[in-house]
Amino acid sequence: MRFTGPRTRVGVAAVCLALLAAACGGDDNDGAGGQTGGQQQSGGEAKKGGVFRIPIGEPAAIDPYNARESEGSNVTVRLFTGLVTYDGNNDLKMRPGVAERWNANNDCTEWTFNLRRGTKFHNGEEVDANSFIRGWTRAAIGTAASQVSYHLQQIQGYGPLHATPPTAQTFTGLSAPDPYTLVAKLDAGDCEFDKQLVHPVASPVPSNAGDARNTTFNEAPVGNGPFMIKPGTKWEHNQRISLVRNDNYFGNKPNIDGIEFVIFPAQGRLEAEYRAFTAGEVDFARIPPTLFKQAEGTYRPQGSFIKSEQPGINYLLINNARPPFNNADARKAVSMAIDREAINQGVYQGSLTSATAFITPPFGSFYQAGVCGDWCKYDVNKAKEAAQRGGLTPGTRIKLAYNNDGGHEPLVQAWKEQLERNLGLVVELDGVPFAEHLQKRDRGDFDIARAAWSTDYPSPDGFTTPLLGSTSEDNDGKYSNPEVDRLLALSKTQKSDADRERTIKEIERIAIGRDLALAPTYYRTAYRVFDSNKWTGLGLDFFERPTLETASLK
Amino acid sequence: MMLVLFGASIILFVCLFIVPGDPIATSQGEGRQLDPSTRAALERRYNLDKPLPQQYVGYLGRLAQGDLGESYVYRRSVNTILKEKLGNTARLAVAAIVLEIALGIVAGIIAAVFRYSFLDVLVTLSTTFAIGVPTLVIGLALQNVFAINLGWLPLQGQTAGGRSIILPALTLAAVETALVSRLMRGTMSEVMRADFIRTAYAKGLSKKVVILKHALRNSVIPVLTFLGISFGGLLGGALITETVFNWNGIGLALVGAIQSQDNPIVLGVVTYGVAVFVLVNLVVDVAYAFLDPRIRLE
Repeated sequence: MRFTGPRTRVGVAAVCLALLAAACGGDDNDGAGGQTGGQQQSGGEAKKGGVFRIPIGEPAAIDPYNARESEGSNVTVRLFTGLVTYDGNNDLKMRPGVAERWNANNDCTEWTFNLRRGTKFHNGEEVDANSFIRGWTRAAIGTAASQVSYHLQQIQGYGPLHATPPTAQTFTGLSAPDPYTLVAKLDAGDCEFDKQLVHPVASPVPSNAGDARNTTFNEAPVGNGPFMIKPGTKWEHNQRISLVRNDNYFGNKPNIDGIEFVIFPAQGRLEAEYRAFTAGEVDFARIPPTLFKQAEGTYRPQGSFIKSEQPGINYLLINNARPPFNNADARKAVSMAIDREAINQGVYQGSLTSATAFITPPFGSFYQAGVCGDWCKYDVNKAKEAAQRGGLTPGTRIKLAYNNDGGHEPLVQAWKEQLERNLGLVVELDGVPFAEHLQKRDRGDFDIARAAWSTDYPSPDGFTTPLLGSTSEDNDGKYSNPEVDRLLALSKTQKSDADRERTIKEIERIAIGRDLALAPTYYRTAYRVFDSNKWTGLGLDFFERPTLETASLK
Repeated sequence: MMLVLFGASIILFVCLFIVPGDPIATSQGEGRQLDPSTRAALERRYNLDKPLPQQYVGYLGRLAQGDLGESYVYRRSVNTILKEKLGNTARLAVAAIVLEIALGIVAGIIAAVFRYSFLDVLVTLSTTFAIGVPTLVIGLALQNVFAINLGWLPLQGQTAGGRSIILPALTLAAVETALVSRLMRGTMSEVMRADFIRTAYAKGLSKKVVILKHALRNSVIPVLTFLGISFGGLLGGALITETVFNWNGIGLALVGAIQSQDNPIVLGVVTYGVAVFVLVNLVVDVAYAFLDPRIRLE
């Protein structure tokens, strides 16, 4: 899977899920919508039993040290439970995992986690504070070459430990005063550090896990989660991974007996998994964009259709660092000159929701509908006026960059056509493969670009710091506003949720509502089909994974 | 033969390094900016921190010991990865070639012996159809009929034992079977008109003996050449069939590896492919000698 995320300079954890999906061959059911249609909760006592068959691509890793893409982490999160968990509620609050309680000191530089006693790994070994220190160190050490250990980079001592070659063997910032207390000291205050720990890289590992190159553990990780690798089996590469319920799990035990991950090749995977679903060989599938209407028509009436708002955002990335778009009016002109809704209907079969804000609806009370104001509304006259004010004269040549391996041609063609018709611009399309596209964006070799972003921890800070902070390497538009930078730094150390919410909202009002640093286009909505004759209680969580912990036989 | 392999490996190695892009960034999570330390660790792990000639020498040294290196993406030994896939590709290739031989040769003989009969026309028409319709369509049609509508055979994957191989083998063999039967019909028709066949009949041999012993043996050589090359190709993996049926073979491995710039796998597959091609050609050449005494070395 392809995948992009934060650069290490910004202390945040975010992955560009929408881009990742798009780059995987047109799997781009982005945008957002209303309610989650297919989610049903079974009434009364849920039935036990059944093996849920779910298609995935061949993971890069299911060992938590490098569970770096959606495929692998879909498996890893079933096998491991970290200190905290997140149930996807819009309050964005973490729930207890192995930690019962946790708190931070006043400036959020030191975090103390109090662990439950008596929770066990699948092999019977007790999970204690050292299990976490072991797991985090194993992932962070330079020789492991983990690509997700940056989630732990705020902890003191990460630098020397992660160096190549490592100049330290341990985190100086981690300690276990007693087996059930874990203390983490950070280099700088972060009042949302606990949220970063939902990533599977922050899992505990048992004492026999060995280092990152222990193939036995790589192929059949021994975790502490609600499911375990089916005894006697291991990851059958390119074929399947079989899990069974862990009956000794300390938390809510799943209803289903097991999960079978059926592995599909990346080539034509979307079509293949959907066909396998129609043939009854898997219980769940994504939907190829071309079949979206047909799938909705067939499966929605049956209650087999899942529509789920996801935190991701699609946007028009604008190069703030050079003319003509170093002028806010010029940015607003292009944003108002594109007809989001017409494109949604024409190109995406109405499967998206046009954005009116940057921070998306799944962020609950952080969501400020309409904060983008007129700038996100299609209005040719206002666009022309803004263009005039911003010096975006007819005939101006601009370069529109996009990745040409994600099926985005219809979108960028529509943008080009609308910008040329409405503002008289000359739009040059620059489509290259994903990796190269990101390099171009890095270099600032574009005027506007198609972009998408999401976060893998439940905080809007996963949007604001990487995309709006002037020192962030993910801020390809090079938006820079000292006031926003000051507020971003402030929000990091605000312990009170209410204070932090106020600050983040203020940031969005300035950077989007006033400056239009980038132009939000669509909220991301994910769609799936599942076998509702057999299963109930299934939806998608915040991370776009099926909620197998609550699913049950009908 | 070693020379061919050596030449191929040099060309390939150089090509992979001329291709623009950054295999570490691409393979390890496309586009994500790696922190310098992780990048350094990975470059060291895969010897990418050394100059190209040194990398090549290192590669040859490992190759001589049968070690194809480690996949950038999956961090697993390429030998292990290819071993799984080779077994699958070989099984599919054998199943397909058996179908080609059985159906293709028989149909060709029948068409040649009963020229211009109903059977001959049937063979001609059905082979035209098989050659004309793309493999993808044949595969999807077979899936629709036998997996989705009738539910007799699995749609995809390899977890249903021997039943899993039937549809992919049929799909894979379709076009080549048609070609084999046409070739067989052509050469056989020609041989049937030859003087020695008339002589054989004149000697009073039965039709069966004439066809199976004299005509078949003399007309099968071009078919055998074709089958040899076809088998070599099949062993190199069949991308479309593997894709349609989610068959974990070499073809898929190669395409996936090229897309993610997982160079050790690309090198491994191509080195293997060249070796197979060279070997199969050798085997076919030796087989000629058995079939045609004139080719035997004095």
